[in-house]
Amino acid sequence: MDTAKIKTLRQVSEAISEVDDARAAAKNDTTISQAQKDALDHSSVLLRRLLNDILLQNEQVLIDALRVDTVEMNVLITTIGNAVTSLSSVSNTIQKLSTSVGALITIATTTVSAGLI
Amino acid sequence: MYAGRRIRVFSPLYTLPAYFTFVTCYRNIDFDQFFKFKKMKISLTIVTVLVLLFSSCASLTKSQVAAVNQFAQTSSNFSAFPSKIINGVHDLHIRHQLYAANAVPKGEDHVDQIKDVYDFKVKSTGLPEKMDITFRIIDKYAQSLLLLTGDKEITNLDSLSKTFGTGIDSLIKLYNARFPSDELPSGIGGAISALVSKGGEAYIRARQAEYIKEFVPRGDVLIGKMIDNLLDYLQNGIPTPFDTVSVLGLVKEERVFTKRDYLTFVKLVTPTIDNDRDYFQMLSDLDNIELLYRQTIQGAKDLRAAHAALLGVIKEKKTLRETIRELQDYYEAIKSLRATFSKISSN
Repeated sequence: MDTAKIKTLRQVSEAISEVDDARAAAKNDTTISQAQKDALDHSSVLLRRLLNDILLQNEQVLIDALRVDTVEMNVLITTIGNAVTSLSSVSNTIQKLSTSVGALITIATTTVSAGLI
Repeated sequence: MYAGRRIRVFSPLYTLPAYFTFVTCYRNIDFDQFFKFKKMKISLTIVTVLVLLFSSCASLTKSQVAAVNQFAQTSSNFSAFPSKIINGVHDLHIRHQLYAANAVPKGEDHVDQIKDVYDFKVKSTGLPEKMDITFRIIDKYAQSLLLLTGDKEITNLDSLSKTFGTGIDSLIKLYNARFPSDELPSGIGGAISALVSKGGEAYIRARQAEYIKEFVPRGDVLIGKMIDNLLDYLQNGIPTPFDTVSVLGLVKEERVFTKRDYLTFVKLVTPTIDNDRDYFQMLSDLDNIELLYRQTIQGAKDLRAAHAALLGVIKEKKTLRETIRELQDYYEAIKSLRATFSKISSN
């Protein structure tokens, strides 16, 4: 059974794969600016941090960490931008992921405030 | 093979000659000897009381005590196996994320990624609280049993008293305070602790069988509950702020993460043969963690069955021959667990 946590972990992992593929492709691509390459590298670090945060289980720390992660993700979406067509899919993936993590935060906040864990 | 020297001399068999003497007298009784008959009746009552009393006295052969001791030795660090599943997954996570960090160009992000991996290592060391206490109770129970059945001289009565009593009782108290809806029977160590603190080494040794007979039946309820907790954790999953996540589900996800991070490393950095060997070892570790997971579930079930079998030996006077299968199954399960455990590398 795929739980919400496993589903989100999988989504984050798929986003990491997509970002890493884009990083590998951008390595020798002169059409992609250095700022965008840096943003991709930063995305990869941020997404792995997000993955670790979801894996950990300290409730309130987790919720706070995820909130920070999603704010940073939204900044990245803007930085990567849609100027370069090859990166628009990466930007969309992170956007979708940000929405999923937002839903996860809502579940976690409800669970913690209800004292269920 | 299993007949050993009796530790206690009391046995219902010793009362049989007295009983037969009485029966013989009773058959030859004369009505003129009415008062003598009354005396005999009193004697019968005394004999009956003695039979009952001696039956309840502990009487274990050396081989029975040795069997309990072997069980205790085998179980005294059982929690290492389920702990290794979780710690093994965390170790792997750290290893493959370091490959991912290495693939980030040298600079602030590179350093940040290493710091994130380190933070994960620091924060991921704890088990869920219920499991942590459950594991400690299983180990503490077995270690207490080991001391109670050991051949070695008891040199520190204070420490023994603490091990029997305070240790296990305080863990049960903690468990009951944290999980009141799932209360465990308390006072398992208290009675024995009191006895230990009252008597010297010779006294304890003389009463060894008696203590085992008191400790093991109480422990059976405890072990049953703790194994239920462990199986629930392994088979049904870990409660998280989102939902319950299966342990095996996490292992399977980690397999995907491991490949993904190494692939990133290969695409962005040229791997050496040592890197490839390390990846090879990570794949082997993943297989062994999955194997350890299955073996731990079986081992936990076997532990419970073996303990129940020991209880049969102690309480229902079953012979070791009758229970040898449960004990052998358990020892074989532990042997396999240890072999798999040793194949998983530690970070």
